[in-house]
Amino acid sequence: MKTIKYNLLMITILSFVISSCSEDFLDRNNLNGAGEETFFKTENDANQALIAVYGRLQSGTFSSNIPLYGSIADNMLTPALNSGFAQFAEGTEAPGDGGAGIARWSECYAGIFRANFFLANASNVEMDSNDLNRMNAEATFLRAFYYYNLIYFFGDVPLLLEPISIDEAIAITRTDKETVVTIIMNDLDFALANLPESTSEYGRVTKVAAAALRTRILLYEKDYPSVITNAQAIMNGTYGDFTLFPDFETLFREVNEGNSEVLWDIQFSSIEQIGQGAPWDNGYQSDSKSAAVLPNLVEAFNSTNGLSIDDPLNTLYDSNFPYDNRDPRMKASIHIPGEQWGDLGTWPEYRTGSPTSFPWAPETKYAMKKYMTPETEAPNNIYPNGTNFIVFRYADILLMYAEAKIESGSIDQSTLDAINDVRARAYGTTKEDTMNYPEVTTTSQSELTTILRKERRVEFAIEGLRWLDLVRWDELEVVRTAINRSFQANIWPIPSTEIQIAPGLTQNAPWN
Amino acid sequence: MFKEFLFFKPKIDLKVKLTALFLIVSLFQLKAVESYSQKTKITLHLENVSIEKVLNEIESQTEFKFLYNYNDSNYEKIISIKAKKEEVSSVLERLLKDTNVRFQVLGKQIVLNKNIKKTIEIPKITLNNLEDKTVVQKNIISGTIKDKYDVPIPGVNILVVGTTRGTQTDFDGNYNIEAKKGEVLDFSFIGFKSEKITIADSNTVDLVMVVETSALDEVVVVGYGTKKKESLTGAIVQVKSSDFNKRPITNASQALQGLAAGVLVTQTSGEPGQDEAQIRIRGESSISGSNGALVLVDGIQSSFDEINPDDIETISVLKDAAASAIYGSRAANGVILVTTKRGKSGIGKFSVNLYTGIQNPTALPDMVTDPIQWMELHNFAREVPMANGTIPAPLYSDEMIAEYQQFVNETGFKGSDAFDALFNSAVIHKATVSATGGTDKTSYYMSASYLDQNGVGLGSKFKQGSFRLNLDTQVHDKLKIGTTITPIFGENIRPISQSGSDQFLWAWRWRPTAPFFLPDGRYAVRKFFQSGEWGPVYSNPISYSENGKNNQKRFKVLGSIYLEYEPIENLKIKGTAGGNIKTTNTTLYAPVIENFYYSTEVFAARSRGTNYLSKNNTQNINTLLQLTVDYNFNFNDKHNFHVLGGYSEELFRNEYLSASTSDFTTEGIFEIGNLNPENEQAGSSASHITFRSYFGRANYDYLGKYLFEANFRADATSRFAEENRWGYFPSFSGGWIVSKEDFFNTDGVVNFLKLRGSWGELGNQDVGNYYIYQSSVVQGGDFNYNFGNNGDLALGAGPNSVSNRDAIWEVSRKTDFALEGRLFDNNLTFSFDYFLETRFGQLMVQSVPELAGDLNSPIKNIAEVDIWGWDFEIGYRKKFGELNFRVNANIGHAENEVVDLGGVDQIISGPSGSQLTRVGLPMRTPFLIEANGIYRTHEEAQAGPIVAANQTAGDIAYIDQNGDGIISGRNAIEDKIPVGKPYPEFIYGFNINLEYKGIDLSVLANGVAGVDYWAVNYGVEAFTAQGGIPKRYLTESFSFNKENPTLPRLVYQWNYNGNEGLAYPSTFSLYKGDYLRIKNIQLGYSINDELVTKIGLQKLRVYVNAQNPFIFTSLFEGVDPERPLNNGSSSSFARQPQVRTISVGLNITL
Repeated sequence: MKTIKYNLLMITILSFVISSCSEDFLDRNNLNGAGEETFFKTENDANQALIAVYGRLQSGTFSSNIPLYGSIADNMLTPALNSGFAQFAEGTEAPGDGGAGIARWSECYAGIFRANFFLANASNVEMDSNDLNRMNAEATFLRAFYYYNLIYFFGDVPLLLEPISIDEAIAITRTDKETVVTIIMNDLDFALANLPESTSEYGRVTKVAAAALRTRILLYEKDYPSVITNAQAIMNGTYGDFTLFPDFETLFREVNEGNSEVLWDIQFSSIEQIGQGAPWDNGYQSDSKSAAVLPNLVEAFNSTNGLSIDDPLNTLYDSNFPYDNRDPRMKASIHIPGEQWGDLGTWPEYRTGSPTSFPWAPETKYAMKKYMTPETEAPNNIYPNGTNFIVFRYADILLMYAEAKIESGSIDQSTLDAINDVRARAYGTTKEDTMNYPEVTTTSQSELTTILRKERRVEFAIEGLRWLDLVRWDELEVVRTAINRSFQANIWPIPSTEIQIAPGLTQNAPWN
Repeated sequence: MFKEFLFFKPKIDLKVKLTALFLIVSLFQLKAVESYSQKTKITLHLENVSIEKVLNEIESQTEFKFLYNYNDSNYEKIISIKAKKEEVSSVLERLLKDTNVRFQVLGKQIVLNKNIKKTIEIPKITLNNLEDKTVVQKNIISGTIKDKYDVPIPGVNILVVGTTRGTQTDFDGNYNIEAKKGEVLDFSFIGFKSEKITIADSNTVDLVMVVETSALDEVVVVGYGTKKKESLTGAIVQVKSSDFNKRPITNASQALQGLAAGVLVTQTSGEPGQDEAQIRIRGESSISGSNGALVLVDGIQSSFDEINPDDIETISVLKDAAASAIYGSRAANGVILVTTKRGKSGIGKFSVNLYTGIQNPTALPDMVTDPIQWMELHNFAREVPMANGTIPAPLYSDEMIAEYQQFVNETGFKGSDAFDALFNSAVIHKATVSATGGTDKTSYYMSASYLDQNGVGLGSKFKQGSFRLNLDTQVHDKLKIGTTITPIFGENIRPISQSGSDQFLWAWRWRPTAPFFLPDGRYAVRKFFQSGEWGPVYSNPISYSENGKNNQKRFKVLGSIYLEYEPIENLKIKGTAGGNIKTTNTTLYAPVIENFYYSTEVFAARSRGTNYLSKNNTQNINTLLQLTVDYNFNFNDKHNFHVLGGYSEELFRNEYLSASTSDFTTEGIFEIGNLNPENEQAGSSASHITFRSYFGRANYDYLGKYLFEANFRADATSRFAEENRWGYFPSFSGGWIVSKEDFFNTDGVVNFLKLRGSWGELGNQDVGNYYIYQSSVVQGGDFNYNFGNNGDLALGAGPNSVSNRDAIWEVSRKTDFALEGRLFDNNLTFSFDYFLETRFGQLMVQSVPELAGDLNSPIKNIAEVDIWGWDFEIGYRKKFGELNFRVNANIGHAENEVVDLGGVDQIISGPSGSQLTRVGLPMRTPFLIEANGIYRTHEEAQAGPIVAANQTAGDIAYIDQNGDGIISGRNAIEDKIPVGKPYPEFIYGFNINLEYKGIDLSVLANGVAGVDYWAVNYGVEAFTAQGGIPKRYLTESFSFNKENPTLPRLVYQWNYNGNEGLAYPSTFSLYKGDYLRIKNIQLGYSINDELVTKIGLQKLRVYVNAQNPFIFTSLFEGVDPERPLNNGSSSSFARQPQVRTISVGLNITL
């Protein structure tokens, strides 16, 4: 009896002693996903971490909200419901207000964090060194792209090149824009050297994307000789063959994704459940985004004789039939009243009976058409919409080249060729076919400057480049008077919510 | 045709009848548990022997021992007796028939005495050390026992210590007992102090017994043990089974309501099966962590949902650091220890408790149900100038109203009352049977209980069967083993909807213009379909209750086993292993329900696009392994020590699994099977957390006068990073029983007086996320990308949150000072506690700039909140003749103040930013625009700060705090002020108990005072969610009462005609939330003992009970103030109302 008794006791006590010995009893990982302790050990982890850097590109700032940037310039109506854009255009922006500013800021920095997280960890993973170099180049390019999206809107920004701690984030200060530019140009050199010329996975960055971004930054920095050499390299086929796509109107459609003009685009998928769709739906034609096109943009399209509609010499323009004999890019980019739209009917009549009301005031009778597809609109509405957003296209390279040549006073035939290539394509022809499009022949720097600037506006309407073009050309004042905009500055305020947490951040004038 | 819905009531009559039948049947089916004397049968065949010889024979055949006095009777009388398998008592009756003695059975002891008036059997605990021989001696001690008023006390137990000899006093307080000089007599009687008297030379021992309060002997459950109440040094309130076991409570949390000072138990919903209450001990002090108390059932972390209230023996509420520090990192919000009943050796006791009742909602809003009136009010509310000056045309033209009037005249339709249709009387039944008892080695408590509760909301019901077995056995001298097993099966049927309890909201938004059904029984909505009618067409509210399926099947088991070893006296080593498993299986089937316009029978709306079936399963498991060592000893009978040490390991694991499908054609199948494989979806998640703890306690007292206690716990939790895992929680407390000092005269007014104080540190690790120190890496969402022309999915992953390895538990530093006493012959008891708490290192979201990566912010130990207050309890009891009177009252006060928010000025939270947490204010103070009544004229309104261009008479006048001339919206921070009290200043309760000759009456009340609710939007405004109009608008709104409006003008809630200022969070809609609720009134009658004994019972009591019969409140009618109504959030509004229950019940013991 006694033996049993003591045995029982010993068992009880032992069971505790044994369980106490299990050191890992208190180590409990998150069962629903990897923790940072277990992540980034394999090549697969590295791949996923890199894809996450791309993942942020699908945010509105880099794609679906792009048309709204026309509303802070002179292309589009300021939307009432999308905060930030209207306030900025109307000069009522208070720093910290507005979804657009904080969204751009945080989406860019989210991308930068993911790139930094990848770059800080990838080298610890065992994998082929070529693969690692390529992946590092992709991350480096994307980081540069995110910074490019920051500096031209906010000026000096915090420069983060590796993941930082909370305390570091709170103590952060702004780095001057020139330093950021230097760093990202170096990064782009690295990317250009290590990126492939082509890839089997369409949408991954290639050499030409890096070259295009470098060209654009150089243009914004007004380093015209460098713009010329960089653009020339692309035009010469150094990074692959790129040409203008013959049909301007369908260039942007999903069916033509990956055409010869696209240097790099942001990918969307229409496959349900897996894909992230771009919201190029009829939201852009309803009051929910109010992204109506301003008459000012419609008026910018010349008549087919190459003359501006307000040119006294223009005999082709008839104000009773204002939409006849105009640059084809007008109807390709903008819904004009009475125009047939696919099999849906005529604009805007086919929208009648739509569940959402549309404010059909006279000043908003135009809507964006670029990036829209009749097949994806109500009642054919398929959502998500898989139409990609083109970040860099060949026409942009040609016009950047031309602009650099004009601005640097080195106008030659290649300058005119570049403009005429773009213009002829709009008319569905080539620059040699001068009978069928209004060829540019002048070599006057001032005339060419005007021509080039207008050409950019109509070619890239609704593609989100207008604001920074105006800033670069110092033409904000023109817009301010022409369409009664009252922006307070040519850059955006730093989000005040960020300054509250990280008081080392200074504010831009005039909000400071 | 309309009678059907006008008289829409559940068929309760039949159920009531059935219940009554059930009661009667169960009563007659009851079988007594036999006592030893009843089950022991003897066979005798003795002729011409002495009575003494017969007694000896009985002793030899049975375990009975006889005790008798030779002088009483002639035990040598010769008799003959025969018995065949006859009960002992029956044999004895025959044997003693012609003598002058009667017998009394005390367990296994039978006393023969001439003073016993009638033969009775009294259950008595068996004495462990029965002597082998019958004592037959001639020295008789006799005497009289009286109380201090010289009144004889009958029935006092007298025992000769160390022997089996015992007796009781007779009706005149007299007794005789066999005893000799030097032996000790032990006199005991319930309600009096026991006395031991050593017999001297005299054969007469008289005694005046002194009344004692049970408090003196009351044992209180403390962490990992028990203590005498008198020697407590911490703040503990104990509620005993007898305090609540008569009430028909459906959830054990209700047992605490109103009984414990400083403990606020709020029942937030009356929905059956969903009624576990929110419990707050001494207010709230955690900003973002849990404020809920730790609940342990028999030492295992659990909840009040997992216990049948009938099984509870005591509930101890540990309020201060001294009492709760031994629970370490989970103790900061207080600890509640629930102890269940365990058996005692002795004669078994079998009890049956039955009740049946009818429940009704305590409060329902009174809505406009006259359809004509509704349409006119609708037009009225609409005809207000819009912001642009236009006045919308009336929606219902005079012709339409006339047409409707004709419809009304023809059909007698009086409007459809959705509250009436959805909320009705509902029956509740409960039956519990339990048995308790044991031998000297093994004891048991077992119970089975069945609760059947219909909800007052249409389509809601709860059924639960619970079982319990508590078993303890002394394996041998030094080893004891015990086990508990409690399976509970429940089924909760709820109406279908997203949250399951939206019925209140559905009823609120219903328009009374349409009958509920078309003539052919289809669901109707809206009498007229007008193209201009605003707002979505919602489905018929009845349709959700009558269709589909939303069943939760619950299964819970709490089980444990312990082993207690006592190698030397007073050293106990106890090992416990236990677990608590809860699973819930939910089947949700939502069909497509079609609704039709009443007037045209045209399709109007469907409940959902496609049908839907989901099954989900949650499982929560926690396990406990624990070892404790307990030792007490003393030196010189003066220095008393008691030490306890322990170790425990706990694991909590939650798992969730779900599957669903939709758009299937086969109806009536509630398993996903192959209903529609294309739409099948599945998901699962899990989490786990562990604790490892060392704990200890040391008590020292000197002569029971000076008391000292120290507690300590070292807790490690997996919630925090390895290097920060361990936390150390000490407490120290002391007490001085002043009344034990020599100078103190306990016979005066004050009979007992104790001072005590405590200090300690506790933790709160319940701060939401289980993995706060690990940054989680997630896949999917915006981490993914779509490469390729078809945009195939590329899976991405990355961190989505910032981790904080430095995060640790919140620390609560508590101090408590108290005075306890008893006055007036111990009849009045009181205790007063003053407490202070500092809750620092509170985990709050640390704001991280988005430039760090747009990640979810980490939490950091930043904030501090102080809280202080007091608790006061007083009780009085008195016997006036046969009237027993007891009254207890308690009140608690607590107030908190935010001291530090880690550099953040303030935190604004709640709907429309209506709560402010700011340094210097209580947490979550209402943050509202200040209102200054109602504008009486248009001009006055236009002169006020701009809210909307069309502001006019009947609008709320707001005060423009920042002087910019405008009130810029619901969230206008600069125009808001902190105002009002977010937490009750006082919580109180009282109960009164009266007993008179078998009749008992008890009243329990509780209440809160000094609390404010911001009640806007849901439940307050007309046309909320596009529907109903509360009737009080007709008398209180500016539109109908220009002199004394307490509501603004009647206006559409839909868009307020462009003036949303009518719904801004403002002081205009800040209501006093004070209430006094008569929680319970019960009247019972215990049927006369003799009658009861005749039918073989020990006790039979019948009662009628009213739960929640009355409430006194300054809040407007239609809402129950116990429901948290604040902040206009639909989630708190859309709950089923609390219920008022009238029940009858029966308690039987045998």
